[in-house]
Amino acid sequence: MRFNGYRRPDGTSGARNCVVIIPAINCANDISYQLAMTVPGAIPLCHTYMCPYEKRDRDKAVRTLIGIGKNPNVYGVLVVGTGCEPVPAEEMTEGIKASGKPVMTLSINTSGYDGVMEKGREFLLKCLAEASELKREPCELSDIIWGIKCGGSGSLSLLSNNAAVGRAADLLIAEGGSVIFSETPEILGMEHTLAKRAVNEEVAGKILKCVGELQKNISYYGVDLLGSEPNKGNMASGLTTIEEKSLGAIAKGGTTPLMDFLEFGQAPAGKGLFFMDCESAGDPVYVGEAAAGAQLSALSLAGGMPAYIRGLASCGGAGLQTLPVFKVLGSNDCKSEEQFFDVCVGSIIDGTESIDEAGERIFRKLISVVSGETTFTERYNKYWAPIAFYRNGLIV
Amino acid sequence: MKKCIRLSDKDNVATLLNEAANGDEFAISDKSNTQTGSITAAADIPFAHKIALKDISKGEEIVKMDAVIGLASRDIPCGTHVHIQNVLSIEGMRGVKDEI
Repeated sequence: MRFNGYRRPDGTSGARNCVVIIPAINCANDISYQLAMTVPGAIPLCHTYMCPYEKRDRDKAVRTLIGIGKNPNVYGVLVVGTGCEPVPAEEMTEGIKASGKPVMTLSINTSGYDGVMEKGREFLLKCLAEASELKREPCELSDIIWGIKCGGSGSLSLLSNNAAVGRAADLLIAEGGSVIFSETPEILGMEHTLAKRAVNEEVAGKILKCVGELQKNISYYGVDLLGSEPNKGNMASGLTTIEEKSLGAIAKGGTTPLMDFLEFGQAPAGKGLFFMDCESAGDPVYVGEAAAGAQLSALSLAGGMPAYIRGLASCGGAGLQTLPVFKVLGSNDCKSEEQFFDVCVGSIIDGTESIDEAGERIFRKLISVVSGETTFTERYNKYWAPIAFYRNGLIV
Repeated sequence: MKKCIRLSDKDNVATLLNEAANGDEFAISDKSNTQTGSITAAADIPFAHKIALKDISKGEEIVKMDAVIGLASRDIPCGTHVHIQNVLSIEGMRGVKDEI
């Protein structure tokens, strides 16, 4: 089986063909956004990385922005610097250039405001013209990296949507592809179950160490998990503790061995199932997945969220414009809402479809989305928040 | 008959696939949708919430799909609602010093 994608110079395959502007620091957001307004089709990837980020978070943010630029869904990149950013814009450009795609750097300091607008516009128009000439070609499923996020969790997540998404993950991995799931707080209590699935002791050790650090912080800060892990909607939908929520959350990773534990935004070195360190908020998870090279993501939802919010295109965070996210609904008590989702698997709870059958439907949707079918969020979401990063350090 | 699902033989709770009114009888199904027993609800319990399949003593582990999901913070009679009013998270107790 194959999908129709855009072949990239580094041998990867894209599901989308975006031309983007990446500010090298948040102070360049404004000019990047203005530039995009003069070039229809160019996507400004404004973000929250700023000078006061301490080194660990700075490194993470820069690695992430480079990864987003290298992502196969991107045809070409304009990096816009100020001239005073902590990591020079040229370094970001060099990182992205490794993928062989067209990349240009402009600095407000050297080119001036008008110079950036003029040269930037010229480069972006050229990129967009070239990108429009590129046609989709048959690509291998083993090229696919699929990111998975869950949200609005309830007791049904374990039984329906996450179980079926997990089945689809197994199917993609059987075809040689890769899957990344994340959300470190939502493996709490189930970290040993996950560690047992690690391919070796080193990977198991990385999982336990990362969760151990989170547990230490929970104790140190006296964090009351009740209210967020699980939250109000989770509890109303039957989840009692974070352990129970984690039990459902890890189901979305399917049943294959865990090949590695990735740092936020780190690209996987091989194929198969990967876990990435990140918080559980939607936006940073999508950002980390895109930086790791994912061509698409899925949001797996159950009943743990009011119906009128669950239906919103940007529910749980829309992520970033270069990463298509398709939404899967596992509840069976909201037929009128099904129009807001890409795949509905409440049929599992109704007893009219098996987890295997629903998983196959999700897998087919995945192939269709990477081959060009737009998702509900792509069609309807018009507001894109600045890219948010997963941080462990302080802003000082 | 109304239905609840018990994901492993070791589980002392099941997830309701229908809302329960006190006195309702429920078929207990396993993962493969085979009926393995029945239970009478001894309380009103919302859809998708958990029912105790036996008397659970204070301090005892709550087991779902073979995994410990918390500890009983008080005695939980068979057939009643298992939720935040009678269960504490072991992970949660790291940050908030609840006592059982």
